[in-house]
Amino acid sequence: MLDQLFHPKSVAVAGASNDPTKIGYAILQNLIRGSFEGAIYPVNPNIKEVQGLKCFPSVLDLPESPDIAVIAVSAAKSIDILRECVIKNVPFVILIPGGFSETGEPGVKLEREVETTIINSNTRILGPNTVGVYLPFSRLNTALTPPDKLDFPIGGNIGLITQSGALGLMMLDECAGQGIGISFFINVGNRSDLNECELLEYASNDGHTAAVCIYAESFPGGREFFEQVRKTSPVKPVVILKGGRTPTASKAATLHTGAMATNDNIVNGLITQSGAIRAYSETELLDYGRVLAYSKKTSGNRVAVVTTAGGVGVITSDYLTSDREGVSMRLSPLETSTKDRIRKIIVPFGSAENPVDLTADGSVSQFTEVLQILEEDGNVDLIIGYPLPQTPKMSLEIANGIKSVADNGQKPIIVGVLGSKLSRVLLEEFEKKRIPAYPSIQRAVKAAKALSMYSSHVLGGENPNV
Amino acid sequence: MSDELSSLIDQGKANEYTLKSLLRNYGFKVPNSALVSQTGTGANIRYPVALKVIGSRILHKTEIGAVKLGIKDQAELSQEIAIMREKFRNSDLMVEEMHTGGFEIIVGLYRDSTFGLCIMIGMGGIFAELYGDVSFRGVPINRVDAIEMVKETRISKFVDDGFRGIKSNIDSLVSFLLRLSDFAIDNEDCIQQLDLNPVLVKEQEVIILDAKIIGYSAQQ
Repeated sequence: MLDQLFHPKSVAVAGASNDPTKIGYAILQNLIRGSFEGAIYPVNPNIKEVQGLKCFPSVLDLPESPDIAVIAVSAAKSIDILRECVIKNVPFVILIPGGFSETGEPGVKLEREVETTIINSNTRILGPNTVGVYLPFSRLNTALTPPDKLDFPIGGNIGLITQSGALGLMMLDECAGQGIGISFFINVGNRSDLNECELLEYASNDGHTAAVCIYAESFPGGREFFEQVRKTSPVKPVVILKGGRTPTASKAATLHTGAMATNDNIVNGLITQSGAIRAYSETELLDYGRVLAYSKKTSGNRVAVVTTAGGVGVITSDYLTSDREGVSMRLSPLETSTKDRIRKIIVPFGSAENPVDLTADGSVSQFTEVLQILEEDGNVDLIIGYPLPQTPKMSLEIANGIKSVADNGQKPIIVGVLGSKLSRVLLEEFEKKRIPAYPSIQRAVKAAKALSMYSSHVLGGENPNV
Repeated sequence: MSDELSSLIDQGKANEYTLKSLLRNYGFKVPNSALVSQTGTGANIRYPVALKVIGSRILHKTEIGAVKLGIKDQAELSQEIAIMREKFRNSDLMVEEMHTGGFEIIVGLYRDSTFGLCIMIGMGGIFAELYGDVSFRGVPINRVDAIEMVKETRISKFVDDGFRGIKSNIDSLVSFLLRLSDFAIDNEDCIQQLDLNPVLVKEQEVIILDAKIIGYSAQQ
């Protein structure tokens, strides 16, 4: 159904412009610079040529019906162009302008007009009030930001759906900076037609996507949205950041249950029930998205920690096991044979107990061997490792070591790398290999918790650590 | 099933007595009780008992003195009945066996305008409201949902190993929630809110001590 939106062969831009202050300029720039391989059709009745491309006076004059028409003119003018798209049988229209229902009564009326225009047509609408889509595998970028203002990420396996356009763009920039690859970005805007439900359904079967991150301030269709999440999450994990969670004290509740039924309490329950993981910040959204997209499921909540710095192990243990400022997971009691094997590898003043401490003496090969031993321990469900690159015997090579243990083993390995100078480089190495790596202890531990919650819900057992 | 509850609501007869009888028939455990007849007291009932005024309009009995707890014997009961009849003329009275021990929780149903009928469990008494120690799900729920709901609240502290001798087992709580989810689906069209508060959780049983309902009709 949405194939032409995700894999378009041709795109029209209505409102294409040579004026760098117009969004029709930036959108065309992004399309051209993004090396979109299909046909690009600029549309503008006032000019003959735009940014080196032939410009068409109207959508009706195009030589074919483009898979996507991006409408980048004002809300008031956009309706006429939308009508032309319907006549031309354009399957997908990305309706960029704001000034619709988000602005109050006159805008609401205008949005009704948008909705009625496509009734009984073959045209579907994304938006209005959207920055559009960024589809790295189709090399399609309809973002309205000038290309020199932000970077766009490489292709990867995280799908990103946001209700807010600006937040979405900043997250793309963030992904690009960290080397996080995405499979698609779609800004649903006012969702006068297309919404998260259909996008999630598409993502469920999308070969590129391994997990979906959603930012939403409301949920289309209420329960319908969560029914779709429930269907999607077992195959493609879903992380949800819900904006607007402070209670609205509008209900005149008479019973106690009613008094407790704040929107956030209910939303929280529905998120868990649907098998999704809840994020509380844009950082958590991507952190959880990465661990769920990159890692195997964990069969339990017993964690082995391995580090080259004792203090890091101690803080990790605190976060892991505490129910206050912590995630209430468990440190695995290691098997005796595990400890014996580890003792033979590490220096005498290291620790073969969990958290395992190789000390600053720990080398790439020792670290990798210890990971392999922990991987084979029946008491361990998940491993958090801190190969700290500042120590003499640690190097970027460790990324290969961890990758091979993770790929060949059954257990997820989550990595924490602290510091800055060398750490940033090492984090990028892990990101390239799709190993979930985090620049803080807390973020690594919370990612472990997210993975554990997802796994236990999907595996249908008792959630060991809610 | 649905007809029974909706007709009670429509006739304004959904009071604590009728609601609890209905819940008992649905398989929930509620205390033995009897209506106080005009002439006598309750039937064969084990003391201590509670005496309660029943009426579909009374939602908060304690605040208006419409409940008397811990009545020890027949003589005291007769006395209290006389007092209650004086205070609440024309109201029916019920007498009910009292249960002690265990700990109290609140369980309820709530119709959300966006998400439909939801089920809630929380720590009892004032704690649910004071600390927001509650967990919601949309109905119907499955077994995993029920387990996760219990574990999301501090009720989990009393599950299995318990705390200072007060304990419950997860299975009886889960069965209770699943039964209420079934009840919600069977009566989906007529429930706006349902409070089972308190519900007494003992080691092997879960008993509804009080029940209130606000009916719903699609025309509202």
